[in-house]
Amino acid sequence: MNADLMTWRDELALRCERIGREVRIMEVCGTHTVAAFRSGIRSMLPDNLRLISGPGCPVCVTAQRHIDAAIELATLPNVIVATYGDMVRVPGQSGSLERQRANGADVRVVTSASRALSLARKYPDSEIVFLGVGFETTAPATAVTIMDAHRSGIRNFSVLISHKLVIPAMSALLSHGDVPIDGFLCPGHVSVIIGSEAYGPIASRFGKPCVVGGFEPEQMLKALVFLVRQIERGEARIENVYPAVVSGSGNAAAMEILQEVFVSADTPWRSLGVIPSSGFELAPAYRDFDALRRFNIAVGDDVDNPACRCGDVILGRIEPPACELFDNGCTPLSPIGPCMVSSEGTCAAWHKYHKRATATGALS
Amino acid sequence: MCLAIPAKVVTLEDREAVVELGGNRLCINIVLTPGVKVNQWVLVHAGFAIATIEESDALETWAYLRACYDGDMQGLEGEIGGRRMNAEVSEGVAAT
Repeated sequence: MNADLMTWRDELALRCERIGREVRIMEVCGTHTVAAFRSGIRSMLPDNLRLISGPGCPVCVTAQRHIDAAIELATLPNVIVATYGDMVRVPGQSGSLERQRANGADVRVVTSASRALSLARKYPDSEIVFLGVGFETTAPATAVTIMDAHRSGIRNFSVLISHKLVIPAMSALLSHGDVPIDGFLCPGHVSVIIGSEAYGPIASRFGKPCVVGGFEPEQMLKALVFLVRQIERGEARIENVYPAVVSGSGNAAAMEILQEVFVSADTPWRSLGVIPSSGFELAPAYRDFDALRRFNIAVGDDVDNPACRCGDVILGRIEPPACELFDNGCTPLSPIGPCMVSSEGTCAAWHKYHKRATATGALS
Repeated sequence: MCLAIPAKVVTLEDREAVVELGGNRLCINIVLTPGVKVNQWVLVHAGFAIATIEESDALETWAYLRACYDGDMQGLEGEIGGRRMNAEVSEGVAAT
């Protein structure tokens, strides 16, 4: 361990000891979730510091009804569904895109929205439907691609919009009120787009410290120390300890494009229900690219497996081992809940990195 | 899925750039980073540059990624979503 890491670790331990109670910090980024395990950060945390993984994995928070709509789209004749890889395995009410593909549906994995548009150019006689999932980091790529399709007059391309916005989700968690949170480790690459100042309402309205941090061990520990300093002093400010890539105001070009293509919309989140203004729908000029509208797909409700506790995991109420399905019918190879599907899902991360956890998993 | 990875811009053409990432060359979209120049480093996510960064920060991040991903370059490529230059011909993918 290098000297900087030890310094941050020791200060974290000292301050948490002085606070003298459980300190609950939530991260809302799947990459932070995995990095905390992968780099060994979790093993360096003081006993009374609880790092909670909130609704930061885009796959995990995609509403089941949107998975069901994607599956329905994939069953339509002449439709090719193009999606980021993790989405193909997320269970809907009846199977997954992966299962539909096994049944003959044309489901393609792409690594960029622009690749989906390339498919539309390549197969002009097919309809390409791209699944637009992800937070503010990913949404600009979808927006640019829709603008490109619009500009190029490409008519066989549409998008199932399921993008999510992180700040409304954080606000909803705090408004919910039953999960105590002392502060937020804010997502580094979402913040590249929205800027650190975007967390103002979380600090001012809810009185919670917000610190934007990177993904390397030193950056994460430093962010946690900055959070704990604020918590100890009873402060609630925004701090940015990832200034190499995150500015106060974010990426102006990306924000402008988001505002051009999308308008905010009440959006369903898996296990969290509909959160006001927490996602997007297409602005009027681009509505022809709305896959639900184009194919007249009605979005239903979510009907989760009653034993699956992904919702409680996403809300930070429990840790994965407290779910009776965890490693007991629900595994990465055979996932029941979305948090076990994505490599960035909290359950998948616990399965991979924390299998020897002996705790009951219930948070005190 | 919100991971963005540093890559160095090798060539620029209109709305796209070829970047070098771990020995591979990928074609990415640069409309979100107007003004980016050859030899600058960018953060790449889902096939798009989303920010420019200093070389020293990029190299530091790469040192971490190499240690953390233990050579799993395929996994990283999946994260950043560029179009491999040598795949363009075989797939017949038109530039977007």
